[in-house]
Amino acid sequence: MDELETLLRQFRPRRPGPLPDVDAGRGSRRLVRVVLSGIAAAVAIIVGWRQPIHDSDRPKAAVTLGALTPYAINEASDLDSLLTSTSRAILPDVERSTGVLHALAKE
Amino acid sequence: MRRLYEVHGRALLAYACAFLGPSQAEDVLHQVFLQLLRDGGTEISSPGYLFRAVRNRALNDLRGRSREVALDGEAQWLESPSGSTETALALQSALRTLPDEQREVIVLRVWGQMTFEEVAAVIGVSPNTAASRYRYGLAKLNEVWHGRT
Repeated sequence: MDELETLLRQFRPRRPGPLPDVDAGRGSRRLVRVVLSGIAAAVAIIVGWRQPIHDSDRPKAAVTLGALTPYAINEASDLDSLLTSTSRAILPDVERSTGVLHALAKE
Repeated sequence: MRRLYEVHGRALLAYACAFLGPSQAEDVLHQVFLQLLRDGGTEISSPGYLFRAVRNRALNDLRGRSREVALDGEAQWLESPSGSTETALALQSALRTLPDEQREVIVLRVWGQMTFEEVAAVIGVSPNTAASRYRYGLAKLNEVWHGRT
């Protein structure tokens, strides 16, 4: 029996292949984050330029559910701040004196 | 973590091969280490932790795809001292005739270089049970190995 044990020990398991790059997944997530941040910034800038337009003519929200879903999955912790900054940019300004909500409130 | 992979990689691969075919075993080994790396370099108190992690993942994997194992079972994961592929495959084949619980103890003891206490801690049995499985496994392997022609 000892002989067999000695024989077994002479065999060596082969070396496993190198570990895959652990940063590969992180890289793609980082890219998604950059793209989404760019989209959010672009939306904010476009909405800012169109500020004089009446609220009734304001374009509908450019941040779509499709764009937000992967962001919510990959960057859940940042989603709240994205929504806050985006909503400030695209929702009606209720405090603006010439805004439609202000006019409605007067009526 | 990568140093642990270098040091224990061979034995861990052999251990995963006690349950799975070599390519699935290597996948399992990579998954375990990638998870540990993602977790930010979890403190590994003993190699036994790595063997337990490989065991758990291999058994989970086995439940999911037991039919594929047979297809991959003859790929080489042992290297013979003479460099003979045929001898290595013959030993692998002989090991495959053992029940899983005997085979894993032999792998841990021989290539993991563990004591029976360490083997017992990895597989969750008493050291006496581990020693007993080892003896029975070795006896059966002896028959198969010397009975081959």
